[in-house]
Amino acid sequence: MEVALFRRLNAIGMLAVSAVLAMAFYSQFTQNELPCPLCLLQRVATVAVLCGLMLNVVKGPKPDHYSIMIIGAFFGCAVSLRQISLHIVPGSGSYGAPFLGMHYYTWAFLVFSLIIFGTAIIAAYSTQYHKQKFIAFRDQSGISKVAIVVAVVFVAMNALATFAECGPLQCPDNPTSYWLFG
Amino acid sequence: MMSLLFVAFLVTMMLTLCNKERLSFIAFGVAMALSTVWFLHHASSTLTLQL
Repeated sequence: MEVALFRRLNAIGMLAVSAVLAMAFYSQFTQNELPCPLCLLQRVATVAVLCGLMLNVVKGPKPDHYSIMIIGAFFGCAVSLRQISLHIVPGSGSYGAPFLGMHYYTWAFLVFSLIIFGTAIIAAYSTQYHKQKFIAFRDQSGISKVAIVVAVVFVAMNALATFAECGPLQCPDNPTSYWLFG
Repeated sequence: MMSLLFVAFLVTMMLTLCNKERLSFIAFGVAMALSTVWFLHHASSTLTLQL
């Protein structure tokens, strides 16, 4: 019962983290804001957090799976802080349009900090670590199936969109067009 | 090149779905190491520009 509950919570977490990637895609395709290299690395960190969540859903909650989430979120914090520091000096400009008063990299830092905090709390419930077993995709609950498919699709879309933007080369710091279509 | 990072994490997810936990940990480690190298490379180059 406890294990099923925590698997479901992790599936909900996967959907929530996937929503962050969806937001980034929305901004990229509707406002034509191409992600910079640091923005892409923040997406990579989001995907790393998704890997830990997926391990919890598929294999059952384990402390090392939560560690993976924290490592991914810590990496995301470092990258977003780096980008904030690039623009923190008055007159140094910013990257992209603000969303609800803050830029995406500032939101990213808050989200990654929340993930670390939330993971530290949820990992403390030791009753979830009993009776672990692998559950194949076809035997997963409805919400877990949806969360897994959404996550895999978003990661694949990110790989394709990044290749379209940067190609086999290094991404420009201020991209203005797609490498594949330009 | 950066799309390879996403591919590496996609491989990690696929290994998880195939019940290859140890291999997925290794793939995750490789993907995180590549991401960190990429980040440090970018940070060092922009730091040089700032200085």
